[in-house]
Amino acid sequence: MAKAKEVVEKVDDAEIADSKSSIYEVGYIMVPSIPEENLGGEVTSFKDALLEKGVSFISDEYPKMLELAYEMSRSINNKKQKFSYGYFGWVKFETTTTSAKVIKEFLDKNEKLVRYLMIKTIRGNTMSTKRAYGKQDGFKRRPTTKSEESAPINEEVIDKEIDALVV
Amino acid sequence: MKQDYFSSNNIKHIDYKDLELLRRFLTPSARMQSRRRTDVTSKNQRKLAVAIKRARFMGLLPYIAK
Repeated sequence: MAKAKEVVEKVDDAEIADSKSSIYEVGYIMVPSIPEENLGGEVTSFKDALLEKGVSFISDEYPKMLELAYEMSRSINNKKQKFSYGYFGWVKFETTTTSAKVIKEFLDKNEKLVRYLMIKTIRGNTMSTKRAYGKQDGFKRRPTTKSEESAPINEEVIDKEIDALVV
Repeated sequence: MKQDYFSSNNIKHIDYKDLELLRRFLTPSARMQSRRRTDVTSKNQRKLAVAIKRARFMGLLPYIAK
């Protein structure tokens, strides 16, 4: 009887976990061997696969070719391959915790991806819109004055000054 | 008087894709700057560290630059 109660409680916990939905973001790097014209199709098939797993999209960014900061290796078809470039993109979606696990398994098996990162995030935009560092740092160059160049050069005066210095 | 960059610019979430922002808190050799240098709160320093580590994992930032 006690065991039956435990089983019922476990099922309830699983249902609660399943009903709890969170917002996730998946950042991914696609293999650079995909031609630019086929990239759109690959992205839509990737998104369709996510939709099948019961996600509702919030926002995304189309992948862009990017030079990676370091060389990454990934075994594709039991062959280790190295990548220095990749298409980096991301999708933000809402889904349940159980389907998040399924998505993770799908991403692990996906051989079109060099690497991915799945994180919990918030619905709104997380990129800092205010970019004030350029102004605050004071890195901007001051315009050079042309007054020095416009002054006429008198050779005799310069020669005299040089002679005075030598003597 | 210390001034937290994130609080003063009203940045609540530090995104790992915001490379321009993250680079601000790295040394020329791509190491994370200490809290003494960044002058941010310990809570934001932890968030910053997580964002930099995520960006490194995704190959957006280097682990070390020569």
